[in-house]
Amino acid sequence: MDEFRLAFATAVIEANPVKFFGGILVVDPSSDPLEFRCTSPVQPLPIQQILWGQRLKRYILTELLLIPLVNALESRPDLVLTQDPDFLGAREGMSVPLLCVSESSVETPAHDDEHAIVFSDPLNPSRWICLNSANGYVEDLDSGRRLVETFARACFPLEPFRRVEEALKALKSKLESRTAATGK
Amino acid sequence: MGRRPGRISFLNALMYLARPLSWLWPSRSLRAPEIIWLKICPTKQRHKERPAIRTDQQRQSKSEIEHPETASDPSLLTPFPALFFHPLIVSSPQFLRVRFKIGLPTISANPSLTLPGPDLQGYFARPLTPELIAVPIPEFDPPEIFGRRRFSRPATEDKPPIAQGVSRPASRGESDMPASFWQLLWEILSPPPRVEELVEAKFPGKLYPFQIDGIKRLIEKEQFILADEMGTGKTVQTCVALSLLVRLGRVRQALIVCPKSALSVWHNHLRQWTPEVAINDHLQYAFGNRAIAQDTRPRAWIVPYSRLSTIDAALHLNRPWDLVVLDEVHEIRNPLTKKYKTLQMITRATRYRWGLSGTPLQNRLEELTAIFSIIRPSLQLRAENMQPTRVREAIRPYLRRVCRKDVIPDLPTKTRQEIWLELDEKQRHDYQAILGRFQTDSKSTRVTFTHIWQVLTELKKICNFAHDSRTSPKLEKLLELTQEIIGQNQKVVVFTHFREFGTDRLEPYLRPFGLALMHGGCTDVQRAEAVERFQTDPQCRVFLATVHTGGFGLTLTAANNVIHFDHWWNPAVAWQAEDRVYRIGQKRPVTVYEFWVRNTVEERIRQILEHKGLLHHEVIERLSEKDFRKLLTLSDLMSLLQSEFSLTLSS
Repeated sequence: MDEFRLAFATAVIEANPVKFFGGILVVDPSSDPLEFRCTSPVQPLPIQQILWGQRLKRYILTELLLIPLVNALESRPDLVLTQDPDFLGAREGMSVPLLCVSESSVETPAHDDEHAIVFSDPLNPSRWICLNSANGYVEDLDSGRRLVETFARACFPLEPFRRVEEALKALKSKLESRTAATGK
Repeated sequence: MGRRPGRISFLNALMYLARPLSWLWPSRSLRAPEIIWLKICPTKQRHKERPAIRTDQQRQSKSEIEHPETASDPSLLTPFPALFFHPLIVSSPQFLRVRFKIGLPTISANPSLTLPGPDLQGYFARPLTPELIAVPIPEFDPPEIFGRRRFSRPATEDKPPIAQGVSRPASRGESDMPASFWQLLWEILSPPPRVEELVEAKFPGKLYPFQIDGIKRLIEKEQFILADEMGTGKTVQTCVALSLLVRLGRVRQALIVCPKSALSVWHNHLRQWTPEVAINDHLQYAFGNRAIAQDTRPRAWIVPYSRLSTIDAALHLNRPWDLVVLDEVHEIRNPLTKKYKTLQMITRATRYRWGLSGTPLQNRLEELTAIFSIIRPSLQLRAENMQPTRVREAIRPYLRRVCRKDVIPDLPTKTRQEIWLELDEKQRHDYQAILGRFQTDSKSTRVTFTHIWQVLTELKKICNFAHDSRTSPKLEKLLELTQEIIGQNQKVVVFTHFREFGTDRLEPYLRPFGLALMHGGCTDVQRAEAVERFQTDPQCRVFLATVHTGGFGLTLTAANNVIHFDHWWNPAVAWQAEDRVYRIGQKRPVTVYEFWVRNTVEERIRQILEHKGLLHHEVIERLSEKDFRKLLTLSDLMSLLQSEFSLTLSS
């Protein structure tokens, strides 16, 4: 599988006032960007923050950011990667495999978990990459691992998240002004 | 039909709830809740008035039930203990919490007909009309989505990939922002710089592959130590890496900390290799310069280590640095020093931290862990708790050392020539006087390591010049050799370890040849001027310096001859000094002349080092100055002095 597309989805969360900016970047196997989508800021009201409680972040990340972002993509990715496990809840609403990727300091997952696999970074064998799937979607791990391992030969799989975050920060003022202009 | 009020059970209360909930849901066309949590808070109300009994015909109309907020006649409230259900938390993703209360109805006298269900089919004394107080929870507005697909892949390689190609017609969200903005964004979204390509485009053909590798590691690892051998271009690698990061917008404020003598070197290199960066030296940071504050260009500040110990350093340097470069990083090997603590504070939020050192760092574990606790604190190295092999394994990805002979095959040859001389009469007299004085002192006082060290240093000085003499065999040979070198239209660098018995006495003799002078008494400006003049002025043919000021950090490739007028204990110091000449940029074969005086302490020290196998480059380069001193034990020094005594007596 030489040609595939990976999507890297992440969110920049501002604390005061609370704002969620979502972004997704589709890249090719050499990590060149193919498509980028981002959202205007989601700014929950104080009453929403109180009543949603701890579920607020997960709800916004999944229902308001990730699922709409993936649906908006024109280049359909073969795998969506996230850094934040709270995104994994979106898997039910998506037809694309979704995995959470992280750097691990050990060779084995922290817990004996069927939803996680760890393998060494092909470019730096002393570094370990951990993949986690959403509950009930263990099969995403098999296909996802192959893609991530292939991708990791060109680029460390956590690096594109930094790009998305930087892009979101660069876009921040424009997105906010856009939201203010439309009155949302 | 006779009816009487009654109590309802919890289960029945739930059934009552079904109806009001059904009113709440359909209007919003939402998914049914998955789980319902009820918090039931029974409260007692005083019986105010017995309610009127109603017949079926008196039941409220259907419309009244469906719009319960209209059925708020207080007379319909039950006088009996009421159940207030609040809050009702519905686990719906879009409908959160509903607070309402239900007044208990008056229930039929017929127990079997009590609470028949939510449809309220006439078995109640009066219809159940729960008072619903619904607090509307604002829904989230779905965010707008912006974005763009990339321009089509470039057809040719000679144009920047971002700027070319045919743009697709705008699709959803694409027309919201100007194309130029998305174009800029793609630069951020593009993969990290492929350093080879960038370097090739910007600095064509000037860097060696190992240097490009070094630049790549500095950028990618972010926290890294370049421990390449002297003369391999660590400063250049750092400047190019800084330039690329500035170009990528990742670095705007850089702090370079270096020894004082290397300030001008950094100035020159930054000017040459990083023209996009404005340079400020350490004198400017203290003044809160308004012009600097208004200049928005990326900026590099060059500060000597000595300034880090001052009180104002922490105050003025405590700002968010994107990059901190620590030249001669072994300077911070002691965590108890003030400069170490200042640096620890300054670098706490710095993303890029680079250390440079030509002196290997693998000697003492404590020093290594101290350095890495600033360069890469996330490694969390602890010398006391870790095996040396484990520490070395941990730091290996973040440290690189290459040797010159391995990576610069086209560097010209270096030949070493020893010149042996004898003491003159005056020197011999002074030499014996010092030995005699020491012999007398040693009988009355306890001889210490420091004491012996001082005596040996005095003897070494006498090897250069007698106390009241301005001439010596070494000087005569130096002048002869210099004349010869200059006659061949070449330049020479002369190193000595002493100022009074070295540079001060040599200066008048060497000035006629065109002299650039550097010693501890020179200001930064004078030092920079000396290097600049020697490198560029054809009439300036001799560079005279003390080893500790001119022996590291400089580039003196205009010369291809080095004369060591005297010797330090550690030959590595001399080797590093001569590498100012024998480095990248040197096109001609280099000759190093070493002056030795027979039957003196110089010869004895050399013998000891040779005996211990310490004159091999590979061995000695692993040792720091401090460790080297430890190799010369007290008994070594005593034997050295004893042999001096015997020689003196015999003579």
